[in-house]
Formats: sequence, structure tokens, C-alpha cells
Amino acid sequence: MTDPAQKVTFFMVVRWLFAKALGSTDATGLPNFKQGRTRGRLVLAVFVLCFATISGRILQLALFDDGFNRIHTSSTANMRIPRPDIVDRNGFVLATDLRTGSMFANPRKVNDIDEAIELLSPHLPDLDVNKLRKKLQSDKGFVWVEREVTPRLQETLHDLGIAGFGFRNETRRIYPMSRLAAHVLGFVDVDSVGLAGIEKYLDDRGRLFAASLADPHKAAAAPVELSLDVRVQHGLTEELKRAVKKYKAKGALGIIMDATTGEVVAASSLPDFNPNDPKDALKKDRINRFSGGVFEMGSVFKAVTFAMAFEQRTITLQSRFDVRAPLRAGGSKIDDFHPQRRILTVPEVFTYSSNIGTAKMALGVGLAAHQAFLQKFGFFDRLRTEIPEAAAPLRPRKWRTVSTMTASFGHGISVQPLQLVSAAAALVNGGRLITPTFLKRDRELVTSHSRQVISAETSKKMRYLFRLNVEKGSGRKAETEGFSVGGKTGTAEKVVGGRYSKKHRFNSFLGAFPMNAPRYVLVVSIDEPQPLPETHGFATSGWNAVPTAGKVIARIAPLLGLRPESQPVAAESILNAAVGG
Amino acid sequence: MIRILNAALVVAALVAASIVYSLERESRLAEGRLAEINRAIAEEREQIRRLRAEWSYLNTPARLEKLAVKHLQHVPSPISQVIKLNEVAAKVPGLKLEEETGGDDAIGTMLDGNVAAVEGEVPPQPTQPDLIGNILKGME
Repeated sequence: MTDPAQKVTFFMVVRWLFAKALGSTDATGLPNFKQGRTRGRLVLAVFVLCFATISGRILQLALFDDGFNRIHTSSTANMRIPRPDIVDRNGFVLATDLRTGSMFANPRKVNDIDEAIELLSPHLPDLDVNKLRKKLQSDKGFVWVEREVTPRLQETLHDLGIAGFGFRNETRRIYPMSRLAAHVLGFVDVDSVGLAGIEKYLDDRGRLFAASLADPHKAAAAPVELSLDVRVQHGLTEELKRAVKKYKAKGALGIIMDATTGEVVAASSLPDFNPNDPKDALKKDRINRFSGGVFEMGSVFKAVTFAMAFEQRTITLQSRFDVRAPLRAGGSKIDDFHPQRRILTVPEVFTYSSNIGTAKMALGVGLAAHQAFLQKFGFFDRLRTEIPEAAAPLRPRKWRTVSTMTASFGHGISVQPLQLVSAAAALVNGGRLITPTFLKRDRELVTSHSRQVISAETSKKMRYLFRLNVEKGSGRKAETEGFSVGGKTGTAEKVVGGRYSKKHRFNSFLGAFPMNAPRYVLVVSIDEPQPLPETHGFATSGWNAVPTAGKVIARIAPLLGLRPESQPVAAESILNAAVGG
Repeated sequence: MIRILNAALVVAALVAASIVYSLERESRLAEGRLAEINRAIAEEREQIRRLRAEWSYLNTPARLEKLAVKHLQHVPSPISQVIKLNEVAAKVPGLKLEEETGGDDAIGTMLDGNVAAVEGEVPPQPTQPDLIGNILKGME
């Protein structure tokens, strides 16, 4: 616009437009000023109205919080795929996702470092003040102040209102009962991926499946219900802990299973770990002993041999076995721990726990039938439950005569303790082998998870032998007031440096209660218990595993809702009862 | 004529525009409120989860056992004390079992007693410890 004439025209047009906007023009095309004043007031009024509206709204926002325009105080970072709650059979939460906030700071926005630290430090006792000061003095735009703050503390810290500080939310897996049932629950890593136990089982079924259980909007939303009962679990763990301490043992395990449904109501393995802080969980001695390890269970395994011989009709309760001389097989000698050196009846072979007698019994059945029977009970296969820690059994590569002889009393074959418990359930419940489960199981579905492995008649004889052994045999110390217990003891020598050691034992009690109609089976094993003065220098099962099992039963039987018996069940009465389920 | 029609159309367009605007604004407000309510629900769920975790922690058998030993004189009841109802008269001499009468409302009395207690002075509630913090620190 260099041409002056053009400039003049432009200003004329602008002026005209103004005049047009403010009021009508007169004939000269210039604004009518008298009329314009009125219009000016009108414009003023409009502006005043506009500003009044805006200020009014600002006032409204400041004074009345309608909850609509709330600014949220923390951002959500790192949203992990949610995991469902895990609860026990009575609904107590054993694992849940909780939101925790992590506090961060933007050092560039912190005005007064000293004041901030002074305000924060009373609420964060673990805070390293000097480190934080250094962090806040740095030139960075983001530093962590405190990771994983609980919701309550987060609220407190937020209310301090220090500029430059904020929170990021994260979900974290929490196990409110900490160590209780840690081996069943397992644990998760920092990204909430299940690494062991039921937690891993959930992931193995598909992460999206697990997430759908946790999403409250989905129809499938439900907590994972375990078969465990936290009270029973605690009772069992507590008694095992005492036993480990008392007998200076390396570890212990215990399983209590419903003999009629296969539900594991308690399973404990010591030493354990805290799933909230699972750094110990991968240590070698923290393995899950009830299913993640296999053991030569020793004499408790004899029960299986007896059931086999009854089932094959090679013996009756009246049969006799000559145990005067040790057996020789290959290069080894088989002898009894408490040699009787006479002819024993079948119940005596059981109660004196004669290796010679049991080996002869197995030989009487034959190698092929023995293997077939063990196979039928699942002792040659890896038992799979929900828990991914499932060890495969160990057995002789080539089954010889000596294999049958040693396997008859629980040596040379290693199985999961859980496997043995499910076998014991079949021995006493009328002959049904039920796959154990760690999840709540519908009673109606039991048939589809079980199969008949021995006759009801054989099962009755086994109940008799179990009861007799607690009445008169090696299991006497498991007798519990009000509840008739039956069971078999076992003292297995562990292999140390390639040979069986007399000093390293693995002691067990395999039992059932109440014996008139067994509802629960249990195994209690103590790994390397030491002899004590009060056990008269003995360290066999009858001195440690058996009394421990007795204490466990006395403690948990009332919790399980069993009604105490007025009279102990006599072994003979079991035999005389009609064969039922 | 055309002028009037045009004016009417302009007015109609303005009216329509303002209706559309107000509807849209309403729906946007409703959406916002919905989001807010959903957020509040999620927040409540989180609270419930937290409370359930705290409840579970408070119910940890090991903790209850410790507290019971510390504060109660009770011992586990021996099995011999668990008796059947029809044995009560025989096992507890001197105990008189009275027929339940309509007038004697035992539960009602108990409730009344409790009401009296509730109406009395409410003891000051101790400030709750941060339980989730305890779990995280592995306190047992």
C-alpha cells in the first residue's frame, strides 16, 4: 500500500464500517454521533454482561464443587493386566490386586527443597533425606521419591500440598495372609506375571481368561476359590513349624485332603517364603515339597502293597509270613528294623512294619502284577493338579525282582507326597482314586475325577489295618481324643552320597480320620529329624512324625466340623461292619 | 414475500442450531457425568478391595492366635467338653434346662442390653494403623 490515494480509500472504508456497526450514517456517510452514543452504551452493556457471566462461572467453580470438573491428582501409569482375587473355601482373601501409588517429583518445579523435605520426612520414616535432597537439587524433570505408597499414606502425602510432587498409580499383588499357604498360592513377578503355584496356573489358562475373572463388568467375574481352609492350613503349618524346631529338622511337609472329594484342605511345606516379597522363594530349600518334590516314602508305602495283595487274593488277614531270616536279593540284604524273628500274621506284618514280610507279599503277587497295580494307582506317572510344581516319579529303569522287593516297602521308587495321599484316600474311602485338587470342587463332579481302583472289601481291610496300627502298633502316638485315627508310619533312610544313610531320615505318618467312615486323609513328613533326649535317642517316625500328626489332627478335627466320638472306634468293629462306601 | 420467507428460514435455522447445540451440550455433560460416576464406582471397588484385604489381614489365623494368647485367658476347649445336646443334663449336674417360654425372649434381652451399651458413651476410636503398609513390610 504505497499509493497514498489507496491509503485514504482504505481508511474511509474502515471508518464507514465502524459507523455502520455503531449506528446508522447520515447523508454524508459519517456516523451520527448522537445516535452513536446510545449504541455505544448498548455495546458496553453487552460487554459487561459477557464479563459478568464469565466471572460468575469462575465464582461458581471456585465456591461450589459439583464434582464434575474435578482434576485427578494422579495419573495411571503401567496398567498391568488385572488378576482375580484368590480366596480360601470360606471366602477369606489370600491374594488381591491393590492400587499403590509411587510418589515422584519434578525438581524444576519444587520451590523450597528444605520445606518439602521437612514436610515429607515425618510421614516417610524410611526416607533417606540426603539422597532425596541430592535428587531434588538435580536438573532432571522427574525423580522417584518413594515407590509403592499405600492408599492411605498417599492421601496424607497428597494433602500436604507440596508443589512439584505427584503420584503415579500402579497395581500390586498383595497377599494379606503373607506366608500362609505360600506354596499353594505361588507368587508373581514385578509385571504381575504368575511364576508359581495357583498364580502360574491362572496365567497358564490364558492371561485374558484370568483378566476376565478380575473384570467386574464381565459376567465371568469371580474370585478363584481354593479348596484350602485358612484355619486348617494355619493349624497344620503351626504344628509342622513346632516339629521342625523341636526335632531340629531340615524341613517338613503336610497335606490334608478330603478323602471323599479329593479337595486339599491344607498343604504346607517348610521352610516357606513370603509371597509379598518372594526373593526367598527360589532358594533350593524352599521348594514345594508336597508336589514339587518326589521322595522315597518308606514304610508308609507298605499300605499299597497290602492293598494289592488283598486285591489279588494272594493273602487274607489270616495268612502268615516267615520273617525269621533276612531276604537276599542281588547284592543287598533286606532286614527288619524291629526284627521279630518268627512267623507273623498279616496284621502283625503291618503293625511291626516288617520289610521281609511285605517284600515276600509283593513277590507272591509277582513282578508284572505289582507294576500293573502301581501303574493303576498312578505311581508311574506325573500327577498333575492345578499347581504347576509337579515332579515326575522316579522308578527303576529296569524292573527286577529286587525292585519289587524294595518298592513293596517304599524304597527304590520316589513319588510326590500328594500322590501318596490320594492313594491313601482310595485305600480308605471304599476304593475310589480321586485326582486331588486345590480348587473347590463340586461334590457332584467327583465321579468324573475318580475311578475305582480297589474293591470296597479291600478298602475295609485297609481301614482295619490302619486303625489297628494306631491302636496297637507304631502309630500309637497319633491317637487323638475324640477322633479315631488310623495310619501307617514310615522311616525312610535318605540316600546320601549314593548309599542309604542311617543318620539321614525322612519320616512320615500317612493316616486317615475318623476311622469309622474316613473323611480326611493326611500325610505328615519330617525331613531329617534329630534324636532328642526326650525321644530316648530315637529318631524314627514313631517319635516325631507320628506325635506331630496326632497334634495336627487334635487341632484341626474340630475346625473341620467333625463331631467327636464318645467311644474310640475299635479296629475289630471296622472289620465287622457291613461293607459300605 | 421472498424477504419474509428468508427471514423465517434464518430464524428457523437459528432456532434449530440452538436446539442442536443445547442437546449436544446436554449429552456431553451427561457423558462427563457418566465418566465421573464410572470413576467413582471404580474408586469404590478399589476401596472395597482394600478393605477386604485389610479384613483378611486382620483375620490371619497367626495374628488372631497371638492376640488371643495375649488378651484372653481362654484355652482351646478340650474335646471332652464337646458333648451332644441330649447329654447336657447328664454331664452338667445342677444345670436346669427350662422350657422355652414365649415371654422370655432371650435374644431380645440380649439385644436390649446391647442397645443400652450402644447408647452409652462411645469410646474414642483409636486411629487405625496402615494395615496394607504392614502387609507390604511383611509384618506377621
